[in-house]
Amino acid sequence: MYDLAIIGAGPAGMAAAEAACEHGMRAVIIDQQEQAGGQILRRPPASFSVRAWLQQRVYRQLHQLYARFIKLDKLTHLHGTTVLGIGVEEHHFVLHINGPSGLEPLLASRVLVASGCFDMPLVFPGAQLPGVMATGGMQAFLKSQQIIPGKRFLFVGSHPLQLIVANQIAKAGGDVAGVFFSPSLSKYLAVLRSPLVLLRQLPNMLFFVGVLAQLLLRRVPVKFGTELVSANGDNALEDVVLKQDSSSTNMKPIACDRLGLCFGFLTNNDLVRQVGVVCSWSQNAGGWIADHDQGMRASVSGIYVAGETTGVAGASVACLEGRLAALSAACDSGKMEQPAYDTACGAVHAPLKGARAFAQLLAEASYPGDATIQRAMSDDAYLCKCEEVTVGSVRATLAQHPDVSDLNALKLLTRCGMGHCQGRYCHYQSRFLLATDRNLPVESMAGFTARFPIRPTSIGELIGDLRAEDME
Amino acid sequence: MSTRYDNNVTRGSTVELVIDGQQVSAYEGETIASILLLEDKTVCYRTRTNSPRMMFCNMGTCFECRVRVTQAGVSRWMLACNTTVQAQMEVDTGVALSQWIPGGNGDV
Repeated sequence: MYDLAIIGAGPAGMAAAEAACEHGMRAVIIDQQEQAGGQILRRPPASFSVRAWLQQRVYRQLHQLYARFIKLDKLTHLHGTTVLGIGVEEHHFVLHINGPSGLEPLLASRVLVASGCFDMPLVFPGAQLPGVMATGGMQAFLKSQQIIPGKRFLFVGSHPLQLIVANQIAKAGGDVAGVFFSPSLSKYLAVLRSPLVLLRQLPNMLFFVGVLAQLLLRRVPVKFGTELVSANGDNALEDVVLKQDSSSTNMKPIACDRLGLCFGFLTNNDLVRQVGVVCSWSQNAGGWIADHDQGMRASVSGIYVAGETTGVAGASVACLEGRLAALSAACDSGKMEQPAYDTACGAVHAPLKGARAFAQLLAEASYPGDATIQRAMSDDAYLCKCEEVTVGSVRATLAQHPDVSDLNALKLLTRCGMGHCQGRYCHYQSRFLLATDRNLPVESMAGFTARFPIRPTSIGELIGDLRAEDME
Repeated sequence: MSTRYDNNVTRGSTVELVIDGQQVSAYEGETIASILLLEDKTVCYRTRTNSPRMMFCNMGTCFECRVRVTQAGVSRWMLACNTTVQAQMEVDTGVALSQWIPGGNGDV
């Protein structure tokens, strides 16, 4: 039995593991990837050697955390392992893990869920075409696999990350057709002018300005106030049609074989919801966010949350929250006295307050806006890519069933959300569509139910070595 | 067409695998997704209506990069983005979901 099971080895999980080990907890960290670091430090394979990997100043603290993390010799690290569900027992939790040796139970007194986030999809015509990718996914090919994942790239979105990825691709020798932001330039300038940003986040801001300057020097067009109309091609992406906000006509199609979408991130919150943690809805901080107290305790006793699980806020917030969550777990299990806990938390709360304030500004600035999401959602676009359910067919179903006002009912009627991504890539837009259609507040609706197993798992994996006679 | 980025990178030994019946050489540590991009494949699997799909998230959440992988005679769906290439692996792209769901031949 572990004192603490940490799910996710990104910044929050690594910081939590460090704090847990400092306080003598028997801890295990479980991650789907082969190496720790999370998406932000998605490392090259161990068999590669890459000189000067991610040397920019913004990564410095994370590299230091990673270096300390891999030296934690009392920590158990299960990599290549997915947690498919969490069972609640009277005094402990049972984590159903699926790793190299198959499906197994893992027992822990306390659980920290730090499962991160993923790129927010946009529903628009052609989104399902091969070649349309998450910008974060493209960046992972560059960072980790050291490949330029295409030939001619176009980026459309609202999050400043796309500037960084476009610049990395251009630097590596890829052809970047342009970086287009859906919000207007004035929206970003308003953030830049905030005293909070100018005082505390100047290095980050200068980093972005530097990246922008490099792109412009490379003659990559960077434009604001541009909307995505459609991605086109017979069997794969061939061109993308955009439209300037101010104009009623579409721009000339832009030829490309890769379209990067960068509209911010959605929290990976299926596990916390499956275990019964109370969550709230945030339209601009990633959808479902887990409710928690000052010490990162979630509503289910013994469950802690940190990082993007509590709202998309980036690596600095994640590190601090991870540390705080592990300190609370140590204190709650009697490994730490209250006064020592109060002192240790005090040191985290002040920097956390500043980091969260900046994250909130960034979330507001990089949220594409309800209007952009809605305009892209035309009737011929797939609302659910997995099950090929169009926006139009869902609207027609809603018109036929005026009594339906919740997402689970909509799912049963249309199969929207029933596919292999288990609704991760359509729950946000489905909620938006339903709320708009029924004139309901988007925050108030229940979501698709999160169930075990939270990732598609074959029956063969589930039954493992069991034979027919064992099951009688 | 995707390309390996060579500046500052030293890759290890190579691995031979088979993609759609063709012998392909990869570096140890590369994912199936990378090799598919490098080989200029534009489909991982096909939906029930036969529409082609490729990787979107590259982090194991969207399941759009599923390919059929056969190893030691056992064939299964695997995520190209989360699976590292191994010698003698046989990867088939463009397999339609409709070809295996009903009455498959006992594979998983």
